[in-house]
Amino acid sequence: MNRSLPKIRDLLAAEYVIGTLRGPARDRFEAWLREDAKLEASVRAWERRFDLYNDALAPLPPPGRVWRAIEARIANDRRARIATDRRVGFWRGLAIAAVIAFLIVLATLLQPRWPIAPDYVAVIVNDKGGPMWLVQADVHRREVLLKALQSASPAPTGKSYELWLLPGAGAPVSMGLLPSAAQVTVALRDADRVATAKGLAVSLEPAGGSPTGGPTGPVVYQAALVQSF
Amino acid sequence: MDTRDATDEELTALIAASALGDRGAFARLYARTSPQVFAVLVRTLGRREWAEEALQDAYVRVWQNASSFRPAQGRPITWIIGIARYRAVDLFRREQRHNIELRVTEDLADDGAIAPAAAPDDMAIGDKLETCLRRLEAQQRQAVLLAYCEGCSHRELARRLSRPLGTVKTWVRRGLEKLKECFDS
Repeated sequence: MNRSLPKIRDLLAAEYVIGTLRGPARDRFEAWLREDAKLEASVRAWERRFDLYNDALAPLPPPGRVWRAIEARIANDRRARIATDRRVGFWRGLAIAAVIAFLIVLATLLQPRWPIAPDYVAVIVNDKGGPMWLVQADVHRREVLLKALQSASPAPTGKSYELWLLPGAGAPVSMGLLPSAAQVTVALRDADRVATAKGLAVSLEPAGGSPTGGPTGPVVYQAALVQSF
Repeated sequence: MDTRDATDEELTALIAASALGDRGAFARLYARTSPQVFAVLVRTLGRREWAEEALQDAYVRVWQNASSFRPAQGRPITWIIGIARYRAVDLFRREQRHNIELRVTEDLADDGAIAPAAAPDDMAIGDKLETCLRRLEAQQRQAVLLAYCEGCSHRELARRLSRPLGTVKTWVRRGLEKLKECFDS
């Protein structure tokens, strides 16, 4: 598909809107859409053109259970929703990392019986600065928390995002698959190499993760790993 | 026109409040818009339980993405219906709808029954859509409308219209190209 031709772009937008663009082509199109304002305008224009077919339908109230399910799903959404654009989202991403780091310090100071372990934090942002994932490595407990943030998006169909630690020397070490929603805690391999790591990288791998143990797909994001205290 | 603009403004304000985490505003947004969105999903998916699932997912996304709504780009209801329809397409992909019997909403190829009756407010764009649809060949029109209204994939269109896949793909593409030319003229 050559998306540089305006006519083809508009046709793809139309097929996306009416729903005949499917499968991997649909995923690719959605990825372009996120970064291409003109393409988005094309999509909005096609949506408007077909609006009539939705307006003319008789309204049909959904059963109450649907709203109860929605309420339950967004009840877990504890994000402080202040951002109105992506730049704010970027600063919020940094702020979240800072707040987490501060809380760890505070918890440690207030409870001196806790073993003092160096902890590391990273926020992976997309190319527009939107926070996608929070990574928190607890070296002492050998655990990593991977949490999806506001801008996290599922990998294209048949793919997974895999997180890698880039050690000071040697091959990248997998830190697990990044969730598209909610959070997971996974075991931290090579915990003793975190302190000297150069940073983190995210690669696009086949669903379920790299088949070889090392990154095989393109590196799509990188982030610095910051010692929290 | 005034009623419609006022409604759009109210819905825009509810979306903006939802973006700031106002659950009450989001509940009102749902109450105001979900009957319309649900009707679209039932038509598109053909099964109520799937429509319910898509509706649930769609509104969770509306909540999560409320800050990305841009009033300049379209009406609030169009934005929500877009999210819901794209969710429905994702659902098809998972559920593999090939084997269920799709109902025919109406004979869409019939020249007499092209567009549903438009509300007065929609007359301008409705007339345009109807005029443009009339310029398509019957098969092109039928393919485009079955795809949009009943969520048919190319493969389903081929099965339903008993034509090869390549043929229906061409009908859809030519139909859309002609619509575009007509809308731009």
